[in-house]
Amino acid sequence: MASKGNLTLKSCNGKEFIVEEKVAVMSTTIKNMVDVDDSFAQGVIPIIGVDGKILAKLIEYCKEHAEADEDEEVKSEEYLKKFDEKFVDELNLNDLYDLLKASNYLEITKLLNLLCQKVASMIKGKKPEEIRRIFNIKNDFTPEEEEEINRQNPWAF
Amino acid sequence: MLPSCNLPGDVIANILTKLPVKSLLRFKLVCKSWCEFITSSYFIKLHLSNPITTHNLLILSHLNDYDVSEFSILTQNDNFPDADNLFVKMPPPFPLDPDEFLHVFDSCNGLVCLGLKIMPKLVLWNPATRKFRFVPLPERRTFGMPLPAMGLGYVEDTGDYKIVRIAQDYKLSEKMMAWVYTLSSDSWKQLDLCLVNMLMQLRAPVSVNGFLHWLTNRFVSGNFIVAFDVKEEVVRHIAVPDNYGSSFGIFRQLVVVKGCLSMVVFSESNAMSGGIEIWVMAEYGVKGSWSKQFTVEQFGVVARPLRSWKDGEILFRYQDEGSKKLMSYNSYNKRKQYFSNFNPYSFQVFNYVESLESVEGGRTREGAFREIVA
Repeated sequence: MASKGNLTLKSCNGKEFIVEEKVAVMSTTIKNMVDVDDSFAQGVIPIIGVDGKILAKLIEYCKEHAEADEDEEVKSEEYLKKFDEKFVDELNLNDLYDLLKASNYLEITKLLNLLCQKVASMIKGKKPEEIRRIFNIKNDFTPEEEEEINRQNPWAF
Repeated sequence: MLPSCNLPGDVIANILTKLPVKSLLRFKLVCKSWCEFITSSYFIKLHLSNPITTHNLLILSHLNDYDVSEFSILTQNDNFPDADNLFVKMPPPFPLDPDEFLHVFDSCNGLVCLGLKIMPKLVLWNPATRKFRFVPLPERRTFGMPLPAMGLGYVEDTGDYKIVRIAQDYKLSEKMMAWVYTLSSDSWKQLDLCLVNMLMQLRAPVSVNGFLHWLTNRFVSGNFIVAFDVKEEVVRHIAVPDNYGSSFGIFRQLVVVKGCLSMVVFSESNAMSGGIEIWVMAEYGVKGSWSKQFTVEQFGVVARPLRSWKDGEILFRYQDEGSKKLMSYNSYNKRKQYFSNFNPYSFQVFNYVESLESVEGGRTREGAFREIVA
């Protein structure tokens, strides 16, 4: 049971994390749960579909980015930028995708944008075929339609 | 090789908003729903409103007096401010006659309004998608001199673009007239505005709050700022600060500092000893809110303010051994940045963002978004 001002988050594989409320409510989803139902603030909040490893990562990020208390020194933009850079650089790809899904479900907007930016920079130079494979997309164009799109911006290919 | 993943539609949409235009044009070929999504006006606006970490300038430079002009894009990334400056050459919208004289009037949301003097043509161009259209010239002829003041503006509510043109009437030489071209209707109309004796400086306008702003020529007209409301198509006057220097040889340039309409003032005669002032109007349209926020002590060279970018850095042009040079000055930390590999004979510089905005003015396909996020 978490002490006052703290929340307990439980991953889908049963790992519990006690975190400060201001860290947990970086997630809009958790914030809404706590705002609506007081019992969440007392008990354990289940984080569905997110395992302990990913949840630990999320908490690591939220701890750095949580609003500083009045008596704490505010972290500089530069410091956070450096932290973000290191944070995404150290992720392996499976964790990156899992974190993306988790931060989307938990609505941690800043992290979601950071991770989307990372994926964007990884795929920006790719060919359409590679994109289809990465995102499991089926090509539903006829060869004629493909040619038509190719014709619109031949220099982009 | 990247492993495949199963990301939800709205995450994929978010990723797409962070991609450069060239990648997006290529990714139209991924599948039908991506193609529809990327070309939807919903996505085009979303892509435009994505928080900016890179800053771009569109530069039209002339290598010497006679040479064909050349477009380039200067890109700087917030995350790597000290990385090499990236000037990327940009082909013109279509092959140009070597004698053609090009003039950029204004740019807005990645669209560029330019004029060709000899053809003569008015062109709306998106350098990122390489699409352009000829804009019909306004029917009513005006005096060749002075040239009209032109601006390109965007109306948020309708998603439409307008070109405003303010010039002297060819019959009534003292009367200024205004015309507005609307992209969606592809036509001009003359506005019934009282613009008597409102001769404006012919530089590109500065856009703040949905208004385009020009300074008047203070020796001919009164001394004020002309603000054109792009949505309502009306003009209002905005006062300049009272007590900025007023001697001859004073040079003024409107800029934007942290979202506020601002004015850079300097006197040519004092330029070597500094004396550049930056005045900021903290509350839009309120004369009493003008205040001198920065005084630049020493530049060492005669530098002319051109525009602002990066939320308030001021771009200056100065002369160095027969070529014009570009410098960016940050008033807050007093840092100067020189672009040493840029040495044209002369140049024009404009704020620029890469966008998918269409020059066709079509706005449909809202439904495509539902399809991809469903």
